Amino acid sequence: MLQITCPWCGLRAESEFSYGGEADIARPSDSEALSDEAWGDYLFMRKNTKGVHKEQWLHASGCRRWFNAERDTVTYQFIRTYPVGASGSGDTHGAD
Amino acid sequence: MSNQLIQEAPLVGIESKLARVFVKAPTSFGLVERSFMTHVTLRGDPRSKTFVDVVERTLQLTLPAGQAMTHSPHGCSAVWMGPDEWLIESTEETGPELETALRNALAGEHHAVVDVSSGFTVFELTGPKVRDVLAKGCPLDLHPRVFPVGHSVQSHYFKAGITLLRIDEECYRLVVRRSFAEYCCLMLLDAADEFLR
Ligand SMILES: [Zn+2]
Repeated sequence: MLQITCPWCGLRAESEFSYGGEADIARPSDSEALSDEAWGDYLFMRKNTKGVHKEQWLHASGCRRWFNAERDTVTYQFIRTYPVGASGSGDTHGAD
Repeated sequence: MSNQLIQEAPLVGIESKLARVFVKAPTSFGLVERSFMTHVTLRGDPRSKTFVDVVERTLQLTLPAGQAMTHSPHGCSAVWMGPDEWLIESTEETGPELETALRNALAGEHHAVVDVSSGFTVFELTGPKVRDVLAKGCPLDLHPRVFPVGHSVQSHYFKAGITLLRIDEECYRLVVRRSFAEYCCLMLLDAADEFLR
């Protein structure tokens, strides 16, 4: 079984976690002024990275806290995990 | 219609199945339900000195900062549940008493305190085979080196979310949601089957 390091609980089994999609997607501040396309982009469009991917995870059966992770989508290797808002987050979601 | 509400333990109905493990000094594996224990969820910022001081003075214990549990001199324990959350257990005080005491003491301080006693039940698991029984459905490393006495963690036992506390060398306490109690208990019995023959 894959093991994931929760920033608060340490190394735990994959079965305690659930995946929460791509990390660091900022909600547009003035959503009323947004075009349908831009809003749709924010809601639905995600990167499909081959390689290192920043993503959100929830320690669902553990401390029940969200955190961010950098994971290689080719090897499944977790490069690092860190609390939301800690260094590594804050990148804006580009149009790519 | 009766005006009297009678509390019923979550495992009522499967007593006959429990008979095999409901023993005081088990040679392999024993399970006893500790129903109606008081459980209060406490949340607040551990970086606030006021919050920590007030809680510690009210409960007469030290709030654990990591995956552990601490005890007061009078039957009250604090279990670490997350970086800003603790489960306060008590065999002495009732949930409403404990909730009111904490809420009054913490007035003006950012906090949340909720009596969740009716949502949980507790199994006390004992015996030389207790770790083997737990390991069948729980992915945690239960080796004494990483899971010492006093350690507390949340994980799952098969499909049920649990909080696992190590009370003694061969004694663990498992806090489980009431609605998962029967399922969790039957899975424990199934896992223990080979040791009970
Ligand atoms: Zn955790």
